[in-house]
Amino acid sequence: MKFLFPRLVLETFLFAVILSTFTTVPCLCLLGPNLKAWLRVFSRNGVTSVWENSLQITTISSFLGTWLGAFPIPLDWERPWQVWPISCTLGATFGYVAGLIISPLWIYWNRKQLTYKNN
Amino acid sequence: MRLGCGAFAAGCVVIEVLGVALFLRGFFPAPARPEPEPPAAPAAPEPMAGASSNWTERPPPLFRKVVIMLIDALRDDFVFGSKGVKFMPYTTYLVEKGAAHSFVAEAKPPTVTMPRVKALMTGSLPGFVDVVRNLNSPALLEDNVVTQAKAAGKRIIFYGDETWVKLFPKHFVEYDGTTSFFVSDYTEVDDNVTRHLDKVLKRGDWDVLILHYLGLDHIGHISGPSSPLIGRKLSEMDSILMRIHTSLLSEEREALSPSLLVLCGDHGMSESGGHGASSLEEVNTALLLTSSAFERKPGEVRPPERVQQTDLAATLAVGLGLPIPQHSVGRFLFPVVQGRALREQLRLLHLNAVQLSRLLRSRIPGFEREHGFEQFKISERLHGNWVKLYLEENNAEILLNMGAKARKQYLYTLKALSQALSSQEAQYDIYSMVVGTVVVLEVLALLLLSVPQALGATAKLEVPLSPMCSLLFYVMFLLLWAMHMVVCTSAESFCYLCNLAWPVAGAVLALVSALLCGVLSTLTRLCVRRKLLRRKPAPSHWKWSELDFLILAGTAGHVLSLGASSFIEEEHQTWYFLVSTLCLALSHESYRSCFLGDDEEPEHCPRVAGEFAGTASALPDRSVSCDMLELDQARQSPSSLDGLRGREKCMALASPWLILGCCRLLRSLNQTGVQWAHRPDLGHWLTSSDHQAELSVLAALSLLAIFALVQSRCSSVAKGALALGLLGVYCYRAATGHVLSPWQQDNKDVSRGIIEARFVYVFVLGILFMGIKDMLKSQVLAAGIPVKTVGLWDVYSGLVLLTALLFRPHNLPVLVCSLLIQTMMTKFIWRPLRHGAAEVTVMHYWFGQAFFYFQGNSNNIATVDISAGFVGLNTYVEVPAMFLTAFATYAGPVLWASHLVNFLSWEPNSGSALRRACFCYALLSSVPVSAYVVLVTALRYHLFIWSVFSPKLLYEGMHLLVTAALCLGFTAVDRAGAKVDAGKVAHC
Repeated sequence: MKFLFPRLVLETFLFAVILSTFTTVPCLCLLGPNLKAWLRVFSRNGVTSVWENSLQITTISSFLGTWLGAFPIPLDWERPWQVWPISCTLGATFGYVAGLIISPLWIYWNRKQLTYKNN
Repeated sequence: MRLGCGAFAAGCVVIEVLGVALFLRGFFPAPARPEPEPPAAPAAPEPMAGASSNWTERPPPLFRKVVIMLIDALRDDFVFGSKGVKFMPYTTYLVEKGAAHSFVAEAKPPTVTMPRVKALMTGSLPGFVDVVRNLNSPALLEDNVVTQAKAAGKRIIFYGDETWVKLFPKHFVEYDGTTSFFVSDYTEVDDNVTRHLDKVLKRGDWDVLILHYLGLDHIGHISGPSSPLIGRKLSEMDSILMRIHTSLLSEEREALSPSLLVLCGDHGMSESGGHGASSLEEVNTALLLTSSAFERKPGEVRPPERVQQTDLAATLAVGLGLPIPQHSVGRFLFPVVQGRALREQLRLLHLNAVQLSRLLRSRIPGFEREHGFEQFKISERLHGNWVKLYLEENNAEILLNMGAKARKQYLYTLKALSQALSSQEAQYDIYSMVVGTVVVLEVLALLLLSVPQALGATAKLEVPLSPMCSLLFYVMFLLLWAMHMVVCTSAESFCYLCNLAWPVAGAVLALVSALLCGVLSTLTRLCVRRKLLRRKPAPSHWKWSELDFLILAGTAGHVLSLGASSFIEEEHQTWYFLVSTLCLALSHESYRSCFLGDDEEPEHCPRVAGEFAGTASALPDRSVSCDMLELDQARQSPSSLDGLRGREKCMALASPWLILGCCRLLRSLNQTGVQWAHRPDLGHWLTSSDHQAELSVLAALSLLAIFALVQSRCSSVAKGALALGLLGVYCYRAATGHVLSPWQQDNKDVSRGIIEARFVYVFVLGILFMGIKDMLKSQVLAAGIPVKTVGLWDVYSGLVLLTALLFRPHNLPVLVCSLLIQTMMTKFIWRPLRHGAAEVTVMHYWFGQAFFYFQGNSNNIATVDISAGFVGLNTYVEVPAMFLTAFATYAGPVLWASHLVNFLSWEPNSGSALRRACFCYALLSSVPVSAYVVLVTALRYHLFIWSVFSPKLLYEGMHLLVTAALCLGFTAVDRAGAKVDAGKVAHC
């Protein structure tokens, strides 16, 4: 009955830890345990401050990086980094870094349009 | 003329099926293989003018022993070029001064080991059709030298690549196969072969020794043909060749009969080190024949002659005194017999010519007019005259002259015959492929260009029939016809389209030009409309949601992934990945709509829909239908999420996660693909005989769950029939011994369950008949939506019952999960979130594809479950067996598509929604097909073309055929619906 349970449990868990460090922890710090605020930030036009804006960009880009990181797994290149959580972890890290770079640039370029309801 | 876009799409897919069929016909040229003749066909007697000859026996073998040393990827310049001189001194000595004949043998693409080994041993050019024909047995069934040698009592020993052991099981008295799996190893693979040599060469108890060295090929794959490792490997091979040759020579001194040593390569090596395509480096291989029987005057220089690789099979057969393999297209290498008597030479040439002309007779309809066949008749006459003179013991000089003339004539004949035969085979029929591709691409362009209209408000299309169009059509048709004539008269090789009767070819060309006109007129109309729109821009309130982006990205990504062979092998992962992502996106959407409300996206408002289906099916009454119309109108106004009550809200939030869980369970049921196929899975665990009790319980529970999930919307008669049918399914499986039966504990004998299966078939047909009758009734009597939806659902439940019968018992959970997911999605996702018809269609399509793989299918032909074609049949009956197998294989997509029809016909405005869905479905499945057809044409010399890309092409073609059938079904339901709508409005 081994096949019913996921393999590589520890690796998957560590990958989950990394991904939530990139996404959930910053969100918790900024938004607190408020589900509605979370949903608002991750909807279109729901952002109300620069901080939330950067939060949105970094989180989405790390998720996107993880998603794209899964692509090379079925390829038959036989590289060591193609194994299950590794490529996704790399994708998450690169995505997060990309988000960190993009978000200030994006805010800078769009500073004229950024007029939030509250402030 | 206006046309519903559903009917339009169905027509497009049907035309596309024709295009793909034409493409497949060009891609897999199927030479009419004759059934193998009885192997004991006697050798053709020597021809003779007037009386019959006294020599009817087969000529005796020329060689006592044959050693074949096959070096993988032995390019011609490795032996005859500068590398050969430098690293292979002994071989160079043989080539230049020894008793040897050297050749450059040309291999035909695909230059991959397995087809090449087949070509070397059968002399024919294996096409893909042969691969398909012996699906489950990798053994070579065609007539070949090894089988002939074994039948003649020769003892064969083999060391080397395992491919041989698979191709010729039980042929070798002794063998040791090495896998070519670890490409990075290039010493061990060869040492494994060489270590047997000393022992074997000392022993004299064999007649044929085959050695297949893989190291050179592996070095090529690792570091290319200019690597220093190549030189070292060539020196090693040279020393091995010397060992074998000296050992053979010393043995000959005792035995006084010559033996033959063949050094050959199966394919070459490109400049980057790979192989598979048709570049000159990959195609040219070295071939060296050495024997003490070959005479050589000192100082004679023989530059290597260019021959075909297929010639080796005939040469080996002649050398061993065996009949030439029936399908061999090669001519034996004449220098081998140069030392023999003239009569024997002519006799061997005659046998080869007879074999080739027989093959020509069976393959080419007008063989009498072939140049080679005419030459054959002339040579036979010359030969006959010569034999007559010979037997009359005429003047030696006249005999010699006449014999030389006959020999020359025979050699010319063989060349002509061989060329006529090899140009027949294994060549892509590019012209048919191009025409097929053009049809497919035109259909795709037509579909893509009509997207804005089809997804517009009415979902109807204008069909342009202007005089301009017809003029264009005639001009195009004439041009194409002229082109067709030019191509067909100049084509050298076989061409399917040219061989068709001219009305058929004309119809194909007319279709091509008509489609082109359609594309052009749609394009111009689109441009005109855009100009109009630019003049007065209408405010478009269509907004792209995240889901739409995901759908587009997923479709595009899937199409792009078809270019990589690993993604094709692991296509199931693509679909599982997309479906999981879809579930996440849906969960995001449902959370947002539940907690935030929809102030921004009114089209995604949740609404009450729980009781709708219940009332619709429970009370098939006209008054209800009118009420419902009002209800529908009431529902058009945006309502808020508060409509969903607490428990349902929870379910709506939880259902994406439940669906993800279902998918996770199903993934572990059947491991498919290539890389992870060997992992243990639940399916194997259940089917092993130790766990029969668990399987029985699971099957019983699954059947119960199927009944529970399907029955609620069935009509009462269908409900009973369904229950009995599902009971019959369990009885059938118990009778065939798959599951334990509770009422016959001790009875262990296994029957084929014919009666039980037919019992279920009766119920399936009954339910289908009732459903169709209801639908027709609703159409004729204008009885309203409820009757029609009930009828549709009955048809659906009939299909479910058929699937339950055909699926293997361990796959029944797949069916249960499919029904469960459909129910959950309908209740908690699609209805409350109000997805558009296009989005719902895409989701159905994705889930259908995922379930295709959940069932255990893959893109490898070997995974097709052929046993489904024998359910309830005593013997193999072609048409029902093929239909049942196809249905069982494509059960996932078919069930999801029919659920789509059901879901959309409960909706208000079902007519336009159905048309739109049909259009989307056609578009979704024709995009990958068209892209794939182009890709395969571009990759036709790829290394994996036969192992990976071609099976996928067959699957895609079959999928398109299924889609065409589904689209026609959609259109039929839509037609029925149109009348009902009209009737309903009139009644109210």
